[in-house]
Amino acid sequence: MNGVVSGGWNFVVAAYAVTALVLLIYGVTVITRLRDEISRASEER
Amino acid sequence: MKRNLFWLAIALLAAAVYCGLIVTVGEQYLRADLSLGLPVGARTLIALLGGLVALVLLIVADDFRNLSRPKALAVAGALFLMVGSYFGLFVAPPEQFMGDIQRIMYVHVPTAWFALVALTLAFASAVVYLFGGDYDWDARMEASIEVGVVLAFLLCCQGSIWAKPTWGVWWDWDPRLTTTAVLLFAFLGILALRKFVDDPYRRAMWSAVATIIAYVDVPIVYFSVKWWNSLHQQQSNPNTVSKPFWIPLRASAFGILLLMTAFIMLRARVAALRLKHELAPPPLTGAEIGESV
Repeated sequence: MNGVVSGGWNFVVAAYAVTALVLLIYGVTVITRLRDEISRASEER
Repeated sequence: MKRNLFWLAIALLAAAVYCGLIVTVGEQYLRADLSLGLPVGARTLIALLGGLVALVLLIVADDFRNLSRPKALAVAGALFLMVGSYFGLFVAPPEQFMGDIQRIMYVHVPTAWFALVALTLAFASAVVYLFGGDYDWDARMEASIEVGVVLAFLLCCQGSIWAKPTWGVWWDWDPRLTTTAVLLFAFLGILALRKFVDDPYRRAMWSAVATIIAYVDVPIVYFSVKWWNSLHQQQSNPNTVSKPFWIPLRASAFGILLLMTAFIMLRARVAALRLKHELAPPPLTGAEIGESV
């Protein structure tokens, strides 16, 4: 025990993967909902 | 007017990126002094205030019509985040005590900043809606809350992944973590409230009041590490962060700022279109058309 954390690359990769995945999935859901609303609005016109 | 505000926001963003990132890249990789004689404190202030004021101007200048602006911001945000991640994973040296685990900070810290910024924007939108009654601000409030909740959820995930190898546990009921969890669930509750209220006026009014009440937790989250004996480390500043860590941290911060802004602008369009549909008068029936003729 020397107070230094060694290794842990799997945690680093997991954190970056979760970040990319959450942002990507959220971005896709927003664009999908926007497309649905735009097509509904154009149908009503 | 709104077009001018948009270009002012872009100019401020450019100044923020220049002072926050380009000068550091020049110092560290080009051996060139690009600081224009500005001290580090002034550059940090321009980067911080320029970014935040640009965010506000972009949201205010958005009339929900132009789709190319949020798309361009999202692409720029993704590029900054990729550059920040590349530097964070492959270029920056490991930290003295935390080793490679510290690389998680390059995404965790900006996520924390902009979760709180998104919820601050929701609070401001709620206040503006309550004073003016403009449904555009209700749409912006809904968008900011949702993006803030997504970032707060992501923050908790990243924090847990970092906590396991450093603290030995995935979660601890420490003041910072507890107040962040309360924040996440409080704003999740406001989104649920909006889902269950059909009347647009009541929905906007109730959720604006609830947002103002829930926002009380935001300064508590920020100051929790100072007010209580917290396991979580205190906020850092340019004096406590070594220079080799500046580029990944700042590039990721600009990336998440731009992505957050783009998401809020796009999500506000969804809310505004739905509101337009709800507030539109119902179509006339056949009998009503006959009477009017």
